[in-house]
Amino acid sequence: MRILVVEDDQHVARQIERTLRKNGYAADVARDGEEGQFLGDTEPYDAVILDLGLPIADGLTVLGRWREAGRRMPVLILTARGSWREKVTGLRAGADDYLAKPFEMEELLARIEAMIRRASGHASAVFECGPVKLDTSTSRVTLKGDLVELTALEFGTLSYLMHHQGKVVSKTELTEHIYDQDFDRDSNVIEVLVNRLRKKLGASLIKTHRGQGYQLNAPPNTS
Amino acid sequence: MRPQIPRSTLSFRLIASSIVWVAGSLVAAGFLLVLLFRDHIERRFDAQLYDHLEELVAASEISLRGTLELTWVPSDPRFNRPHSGWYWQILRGNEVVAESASVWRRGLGIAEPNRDGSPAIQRFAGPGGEEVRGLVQNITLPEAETPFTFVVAGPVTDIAGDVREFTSKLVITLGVLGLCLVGAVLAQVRFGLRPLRAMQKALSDIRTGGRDRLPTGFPDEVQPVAHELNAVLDHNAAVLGRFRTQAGNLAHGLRNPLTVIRNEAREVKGDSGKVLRDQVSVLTGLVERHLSQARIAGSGSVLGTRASVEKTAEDLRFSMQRLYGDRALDIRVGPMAGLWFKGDAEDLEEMMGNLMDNACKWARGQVVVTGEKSGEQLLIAVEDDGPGIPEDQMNDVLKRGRRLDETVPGSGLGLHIVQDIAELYQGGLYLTPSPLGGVRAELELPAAG
Repeated sequence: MRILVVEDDQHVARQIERTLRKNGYAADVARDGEEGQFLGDTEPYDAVILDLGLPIADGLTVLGRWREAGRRMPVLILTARGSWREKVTGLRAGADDYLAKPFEMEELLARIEAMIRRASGHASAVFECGPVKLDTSTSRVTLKGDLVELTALEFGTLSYLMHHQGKVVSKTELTEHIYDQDFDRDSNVIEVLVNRLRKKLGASLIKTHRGQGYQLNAPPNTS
Repeated sequence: MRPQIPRSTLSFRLIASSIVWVAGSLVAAGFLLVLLFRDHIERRFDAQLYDHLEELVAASEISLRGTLELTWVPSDPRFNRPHSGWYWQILRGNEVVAESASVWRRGLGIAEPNRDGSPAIQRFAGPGGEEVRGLVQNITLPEAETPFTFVVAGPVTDIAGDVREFTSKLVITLGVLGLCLVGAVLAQVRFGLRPLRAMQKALSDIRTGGRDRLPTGFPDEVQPVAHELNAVLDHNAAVLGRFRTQAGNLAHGLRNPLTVIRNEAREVKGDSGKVLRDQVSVLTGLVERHLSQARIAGSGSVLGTRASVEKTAEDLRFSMQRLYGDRALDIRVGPMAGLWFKGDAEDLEEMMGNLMDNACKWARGQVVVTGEKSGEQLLIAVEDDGPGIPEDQMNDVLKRGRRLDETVPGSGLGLHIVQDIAELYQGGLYLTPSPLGGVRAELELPAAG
């Protein structure tokens, strides 16, 4: 899952970025409204964390432009004033949720996770595929009830595939959603990640469609 | 008109000064008119006396014996009626040569003629003791050697009676005129002061929240006052706006560092980490509370502000549906057309927002918002079908920062802020069990027209 963070305070931005990466998300940071809008327009994000008080173009303007252009990615606004006027204006402009500063990173993660899940049409925090369970609220993966240790990138790959279960996901799409913009897209790291997941969770979990991409499938025999 | 006009009113000043002025003018005019009338009557009276005197002189002839003889007697019958008040007399020195029958046995009072022969008007006593006005003139007849004194007199009571009659009619006339003038003054004052009354009404509308500025179209003398009042209202609004912006800026400035410190403090291990975290949460609470209070506009801070309950409820319903979209809550807003809160829109949003947010957090499936106006009061109720609060704990919920269930996210300040704002508007927040099963939070607030 790839998140865009638009926040002008460098300390807050760095903390959010660090927290997101630690929890298996890819994160890009924009420091002003213009850069944020550009990234949102050009990169496929699964969610946006948008501060309202931004230099150059404020958060509401950026959000308004995205929604006008038909971009539907879930947006969480960070409000500094915490007044209902600000929240209502943000929600009317198309935000999906808000968080008032100061906030705890756990709270932010919970909101992001819920927002992405809601956008994918999944009601529960737990995604299941055969014997594999992924709990987005705790970032834990279990195989037949046993905890499986995954790296942040492995978790990100599995999480994206879980959110798009049954759909064939191309290698490019997967790269775009688990890596931030600084990553070299041409490497074969995705293949490595998929192979590691197969090794940890069972070979039949991820099916390869040659030339098209990967698909998460429940193995026919789950016992 | 009210039965009693206080001394300090403009109406009293205008009416009292007009009455004094009108009364003074009328009395002076009356006095002058009476004087003029008396003068006129006396002149006409004297003209009669001259006529009679001329008649008498014309009738006088000096006989061959040198005595004065009258060829005819003046025809006016009043000269024949005894003590009628009308008399004539002809004297040579102090000796009466001839006199009218009306003198009748008593002498006419002494009249002193002018020595140069010019006529003199005099007052003296008549034979009946009454006062008469007489014309006295020494005339030397052609054949006579010495002048004769001719006297013609009429009763003063004739003049006095006419003047008295005229005066009483004049008093009535002037009295009626005075009443008409005072009536006109009253009407004028009422009409003239009407713009002031209209302004007073407009100002009280502003205070009760019925409008936010004074209208234009006052008369030229009053319009500047209206302009100035509008300027004061604008200034108030601007000052409030500035304070809010400053509070907002301060909040913005503090919240970012607080967010950073709070999250960095989580990484610090041991006792010092705990101290740091505790202090940060104290700091966060203080900032939260004071900034939310600085944001509250409060009642009367800006005259003439009012907020639509319907619009606020609709905005918040939209927001709640968005925020709690995955729970498919049925959020219903009852009919609220024409409900206005006499106060700041942001304050109303803050109160209703917190209440609806709480209701949505706890609701199983339904939240109902209703509003009604009862006299000067606005009653807004937010109900949910959640688990509710035991009645004996209802009051505890409102205590500062207290939350009954720490598992549902929220700062815990929500209800308390609602209560703070409501109290600033002399209103209140009341929690009761709802027939839906959960809590019914009722806001009592001042209503605007």
